[in-house]
Amino acid sequence: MKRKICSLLLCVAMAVGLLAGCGDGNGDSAGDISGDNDNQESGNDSDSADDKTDSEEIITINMCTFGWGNVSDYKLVQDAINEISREEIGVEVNLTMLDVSQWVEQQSLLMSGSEPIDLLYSSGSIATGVSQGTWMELDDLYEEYGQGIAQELDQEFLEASRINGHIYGIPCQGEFANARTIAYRKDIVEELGLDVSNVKTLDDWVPIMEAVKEAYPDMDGFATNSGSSQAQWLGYNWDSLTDNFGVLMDYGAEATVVNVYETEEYENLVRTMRAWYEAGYVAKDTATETESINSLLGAGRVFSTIGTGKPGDEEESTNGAGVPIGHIDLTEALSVTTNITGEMWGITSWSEEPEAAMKFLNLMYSNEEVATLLNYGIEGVHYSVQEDGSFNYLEGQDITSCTYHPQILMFWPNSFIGGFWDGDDPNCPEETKVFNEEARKSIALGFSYDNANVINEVAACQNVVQQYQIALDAGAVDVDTVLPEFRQALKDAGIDKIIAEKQSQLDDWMAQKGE
Amino acid sequence: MTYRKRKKKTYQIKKYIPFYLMMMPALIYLFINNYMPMPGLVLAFKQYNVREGIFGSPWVGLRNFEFLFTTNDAWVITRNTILYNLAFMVFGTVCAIGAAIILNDIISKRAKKAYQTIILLPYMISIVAVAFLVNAFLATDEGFINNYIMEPLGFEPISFYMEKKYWPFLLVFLNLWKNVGYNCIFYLANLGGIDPGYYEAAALDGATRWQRFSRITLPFLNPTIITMTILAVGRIFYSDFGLFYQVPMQSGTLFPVTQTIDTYVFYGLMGGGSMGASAAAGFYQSLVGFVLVLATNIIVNKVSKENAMF
Amino acid sequence: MVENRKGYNILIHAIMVILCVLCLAPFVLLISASLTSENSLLADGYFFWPREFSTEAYEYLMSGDSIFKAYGVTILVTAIGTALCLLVTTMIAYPLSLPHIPGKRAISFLVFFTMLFSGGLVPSYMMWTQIFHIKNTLAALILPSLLTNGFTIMMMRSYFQINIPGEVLESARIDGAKEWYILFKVVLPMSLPILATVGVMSGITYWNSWNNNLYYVTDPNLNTIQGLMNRMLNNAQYLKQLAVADSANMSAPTASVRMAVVVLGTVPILCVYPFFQRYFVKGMTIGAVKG
Repeated sequence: MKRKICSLLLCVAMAVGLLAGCGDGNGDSAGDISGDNDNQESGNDSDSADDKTDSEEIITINMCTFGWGNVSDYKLVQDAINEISREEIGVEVNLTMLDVSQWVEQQSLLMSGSEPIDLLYSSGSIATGVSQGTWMELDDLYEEYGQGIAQELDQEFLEASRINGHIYGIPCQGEFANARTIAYRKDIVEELGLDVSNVKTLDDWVPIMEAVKEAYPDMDGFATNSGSSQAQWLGYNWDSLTDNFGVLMDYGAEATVVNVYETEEYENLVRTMRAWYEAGYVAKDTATETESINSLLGAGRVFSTIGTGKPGDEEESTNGAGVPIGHIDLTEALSVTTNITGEMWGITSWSEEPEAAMKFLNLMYSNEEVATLLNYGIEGVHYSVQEDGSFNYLEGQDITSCTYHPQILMFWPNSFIGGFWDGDDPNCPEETKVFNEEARKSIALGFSYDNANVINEVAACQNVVQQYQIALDAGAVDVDTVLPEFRQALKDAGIDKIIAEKQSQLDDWMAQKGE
Repeated sequence: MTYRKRKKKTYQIKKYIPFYLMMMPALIYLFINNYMPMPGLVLAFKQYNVREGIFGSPWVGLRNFEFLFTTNDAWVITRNTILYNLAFMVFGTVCAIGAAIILNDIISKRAKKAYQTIILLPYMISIVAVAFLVNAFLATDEGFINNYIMEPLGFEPISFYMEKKYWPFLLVFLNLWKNVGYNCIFYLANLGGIDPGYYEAAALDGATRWQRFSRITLPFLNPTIITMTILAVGRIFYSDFGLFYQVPMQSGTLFPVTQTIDTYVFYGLMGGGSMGASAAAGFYQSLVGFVLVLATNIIVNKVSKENAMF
Repeated sequence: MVENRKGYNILIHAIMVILCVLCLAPFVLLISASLTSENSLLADGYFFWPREFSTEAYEYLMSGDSIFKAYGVTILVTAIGTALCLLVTTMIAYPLSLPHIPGKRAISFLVFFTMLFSGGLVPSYMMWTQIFHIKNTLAALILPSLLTNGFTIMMMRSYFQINIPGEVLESARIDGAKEWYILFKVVLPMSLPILATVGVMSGITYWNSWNNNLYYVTDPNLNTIQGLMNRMLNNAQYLKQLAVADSANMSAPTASVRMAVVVLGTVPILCVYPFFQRYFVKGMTIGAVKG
């Protein structure tokens, strides 16, 4: 018996030895990266890098993003961009475009510092990456090389994207506010001669659905969650402060963080949904639907859903579903921090060529030709220009056969300056700028919250929300029994602690802002 | 040590050199692929920061593990994970052996090939597609069961994705369905190794079918069963993520019976969880498995030494 | 006794037929869905035969050469990977199956340990890409999952232990055979069933593997069939998930395309599988020893 223990110990010792041995090897390699990452070092580099450009040396930077559509020709596009950028700023780009699913999976790798990447698109709130050390502070670089961006981007929103007072990313040009809408089949409303002009609330929508149900008994009046398995009321007329665990009600009018799930507003919403569900407007399995909302609308299985309101929303939805879609605003447009920090471009903290990366980012933001190339590819290869100036597929090509059509306008730095597609509203950029200005601004616009101190509570609450909220939002469960359970489960999971933490961070931020 | 003994020892080592050479490629590979990244385990105890790298990041003790235990669901997710795994282990082994024996007993070669290929089919279908297929059967409005069985018979349709009681059976059934064809391959190989002479002799002695199974077949399969079981024990805190995440369509109402450690970690860290926290979850799962395996191995060592893993 | 045998035969065939129906029915559903037009699928749901026949899904997938390239890459990777895996696995499993090798237990433990603990994705990725530079090479599709874990080693070891009698090896050694000769000329011919098993397992693993493609390959010329297919399925899911945030004009692979994807990924290896089954033949090993 003693011998057995000895041999076991030996095994463990060997294993440990192996670990320690390779620990060194791996440590070196990791050290290499982190050494290069050192911010100060790159700061020192900046002068010498300047000299380099003066002597006309071409610097290559690596950039990575993804495409929804077909992007098999992205290397051609890259070469075309390099023709321009070499001239203009002495920088070439090595572009990588991934599929969306590969992008999602690789994001943790890309952001962990294991890849030589300089310029990276950031989806979701950039704050997570900032606390992990992924992003470089851009304040100085922006001062020096960001003039093009400064001209294009409304400074109010750049300011709002700051985290702890620093710029870590440049927001993608686009709408920085959203309204909640009902998205519906416009053609059916017209066909049945229904009047939707007086619809202002969810309750006003009931007679419309009733009429549609009579004419089309097989069509569901309403699909919750836009057919996705996310919670539906992640934001309505409140500022969700990133994650809905503690929100600012009434368009973020006051800086008091409250538990949205305890409010009357939320209860009314789920009660309405429950009434719709019981009246048969909503499909029984709506919470576990397998098809995307565009397919459902297009195939005539669903008449309406919750949508997102912004300039050009009807054109966009119509393009997506393949049938005429209308939007009716349920709320006013509201601008909150995540509208801005949700889609950004940043430079990695381990970038070896931050100046070149910033110059290139600036070029993408301000150069029409480059923006057009990114948006739609090369003229005559990936699109043709029509008489009215809009772009369309080449003869005989469509969305699947076109070899560059990434369909990620809102994820490029600046899609406003890069042409417009057939059917899109050419005035959309101008309208969006007005929309952004006029949207209601949450009092906490510019406040980014860091959940590091309450990460355990957040994890528990996320699970509670998954368990209850989707079914409640869909009306699939009895509100009287499930809502109290849901509220209690959130309390047990520690939502109050999250709210207190958020409140104190918000108070600090308000105080700093006031100074 | 006397000269002779030393000489004998060198002779012995020499004798073993070819064996060590044979083992080299695999050991080098395992060292590179499995042991070199192993220091990454320290991430479980660190707050990862890109600038500092894995080793420079600050230590945080056991903080990364907290989210697994402070929750009220800790008990539920642990119970689900263990119970499902036990069920998969027991039923999976029984079904796989049963299928292997039946396949082995089928005389027609063509039928055998056809059966064997067809029962492997489910293993090859991606779990995402399985989720769609299951949905095609279970959906309330247009699923097969409700449309073609419940409705014609005059029953109320069942909302499968809202009813907890069906899922423990469904999930076990799906796991068996998906894996039986694959798992029985192991046992088939071992059955192929049994000398038919044993059976002939046993039949002559008038042994019943059961006796032949328990006295001849089972002892031959024992090492495989033990190996597979020890491995399964080692993974008892892990769950088949696809099965528990995709197939129930993330229906929250089913969480009390579908939530496992893996899905809990996934949902919990969705909102920008740290690398440390997911590393911690993996470490915890491995550690429990490791302890259980050591214990199992000690028992196996006592009962039948030659079947022990190490 | 004879009647009993007949009854047993009917019973086992009946069981297998039921099992096969259970396994086949969903697959028929899948094939049918892949051959149904998209709108009919959305409006009428899935059914066991296409209500509105259409080969659109396959035309969509077959347009361009990416899928054929992917088949080529996958076949190459599966062949090389399986061969390498078999060689390396046999070479370590054989010594471990022998009774008196010094350090055997420690080595078994080291092998076993890899089945339980892993350093995690990010450290593995850093190592393979920064030390071995395998990103966007064929090696990236083969190496990271060569032994996957020690599982196959353990399987083969226990097979050798039971099925290769010590006397056979002893007599070969007395005849003056070298260990390498014994392994390749004596042991392996007696082990066709386990070689076939491990080969089939490894082959299936390589064929089905998409992780390596996902993490280590961004060059579209090196896509594997399952990598490609898996991404399509997942793209559709992400599109669905994100629909609430941005109801933009994104084209998700349609339901019938998703089903066709599964069919195209599954069918080829199922066609090959029966050819390997003849190695699972009854009584082969002992017969070989006696002869």
